[in-house]
Amino acid sequence: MTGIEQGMAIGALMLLLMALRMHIAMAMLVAGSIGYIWIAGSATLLNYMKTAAWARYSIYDLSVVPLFLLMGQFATHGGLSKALFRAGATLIGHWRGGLAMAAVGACAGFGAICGSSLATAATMGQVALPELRNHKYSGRLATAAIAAGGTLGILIPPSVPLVIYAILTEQNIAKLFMAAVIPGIIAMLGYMIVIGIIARVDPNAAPRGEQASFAEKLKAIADTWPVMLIFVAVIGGIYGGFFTPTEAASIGTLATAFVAWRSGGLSRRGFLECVYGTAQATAMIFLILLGADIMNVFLALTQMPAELAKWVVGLGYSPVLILFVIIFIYLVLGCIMDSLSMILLTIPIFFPIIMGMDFWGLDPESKAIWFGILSLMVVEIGLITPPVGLNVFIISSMAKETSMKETFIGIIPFLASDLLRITLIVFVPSIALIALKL
Amino acid sequence: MADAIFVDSDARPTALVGRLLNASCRFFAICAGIMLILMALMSLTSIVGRSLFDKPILGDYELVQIMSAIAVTMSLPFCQMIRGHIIVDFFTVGLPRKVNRVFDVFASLILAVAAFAFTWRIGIGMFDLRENGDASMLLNVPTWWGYAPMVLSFFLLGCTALYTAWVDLTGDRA
Repeated sequence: MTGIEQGMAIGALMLLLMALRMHIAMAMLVAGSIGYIWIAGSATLLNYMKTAAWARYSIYDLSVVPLFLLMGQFATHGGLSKALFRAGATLIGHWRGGLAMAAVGACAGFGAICGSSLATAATMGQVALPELRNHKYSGRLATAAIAAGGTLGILIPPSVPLVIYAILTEQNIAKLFMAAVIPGIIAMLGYMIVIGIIARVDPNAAPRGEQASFAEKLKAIADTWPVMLIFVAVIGGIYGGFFTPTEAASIGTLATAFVAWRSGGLSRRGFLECVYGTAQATAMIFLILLGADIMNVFLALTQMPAELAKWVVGLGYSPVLILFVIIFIYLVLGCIMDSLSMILLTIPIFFPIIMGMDFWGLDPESKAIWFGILSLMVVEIGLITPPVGLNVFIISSMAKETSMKETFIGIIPFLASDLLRITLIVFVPSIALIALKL
Repeated sequence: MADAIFVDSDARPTALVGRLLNASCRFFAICAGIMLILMALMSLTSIVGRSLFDKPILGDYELVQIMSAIAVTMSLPFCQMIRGHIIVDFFTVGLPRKVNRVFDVFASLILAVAAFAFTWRIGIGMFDLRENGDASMLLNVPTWWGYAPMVLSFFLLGCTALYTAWVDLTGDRA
């Protein structure tokens, strides 16, 4: 059997195990181990297992992941999502669709201190859904706007999948974070424009809120100072080279913990919820990392990624066509898989293909960063597409009066804006890369 | 998932084994959280020391590596206890509940086997490291110190996985 065939066989086994409800991490681990034994023998595998967990878990750059998760938990318990939404609501709430836009903007703001989509959607759902309901927004628009807005949580740095991408492809985390900022802002504006259009087409779906006085606006904006300060300290500190990402995340964690404590969100129970929530998300991510490691060691042994890349490049199709095929594969996979597993499983295979081709004469580093941002945006779409759109699930569980089908219908215009943005960044990579040249 | 939202339920196992395991898993998760906060405090001290007194903490990178490795592994059992690991249920959602339960029992058993295998191998790795005196570069912290909590955590993960398999098998959801 050739390496490609071996890789395909084990890959098929892994997908089968996943389909049969095995933990995603375990499906990778079991299939990867079988493949490893197949090629290198069981003694090598047993030897590998001695150090595998330590080797993966003690990577300095990865320590940023649990810290960002803890930071997001503290931010949620600190009432920061509420302050952000209030600020948005007083500023633009009186526009047509303004309150839904405020929710999207608040999602973006919360995303700047939280690296998680679901947490962003969930916390904003709690804060904004009741307000939207009181102002007689249609359930379809309200739930769809917040579910879509939640994806900004990952798009806008800090972002856990970007950290993983950086480590897999040996890229600079700070540069990836910077490159994600402008596409993240464009995403936010895109969602707001969608809401604006819907509000004009169907004014009943999105009534105007009250006009706030200047003093109210000022106060509401002032209330968001912790978010701004933390964002500037964390992202500015990383990009300016003052801190490593881990140090920046440490500062962010302590700052959000302080805010949460000041606001009274850190009672004994609140603190435990933060800790448990962090433990759960951390364990989930790192078990998948352990499984993906063994799968990727096996794939490297088969030399499948390199051979496949050579074969695809040798086909002579236009690079843009190949890129769109990759994006299409992500969209399909995203319907049933989570973003992190997708990145872990596909980047070792797709990355060499992309790096082997020419895109608008980009140098290798720019190309790697640009592809990282693109894949991040594409895998995030999986959070709002049926049948498994986790953001939609979360929001639906909060808005019982709106059926999940309604929400999925409401999502369609937001999806259109996602696809438009992805196409834009495919053809104009400098949208992402310009931030690196400043 | 790259992310999750955690809502603690007040339901706790009633059987003694379950209560013991649940308490251990929560204890490990709290240790992990405290470890992370200590890690953040240490980084902050190091930054302050570095920028104000030109005196960072010696070996702060090493400490972060060791502490994060321990914190991460100690989180693992809790996630299994609350069934927080991610699965794809898209293909099986239409099947009868009993069939899904059989799959879940199987998945938990596989996780138990893997966790015990890791316990065994990491344990051996720990003894290897202790014998050859492997230690961190600056602070000379023996590497096997980091391995010891890992062995414990993977063992607890294995026990927890066995327990969840048993719960699914007997239908006792408590």
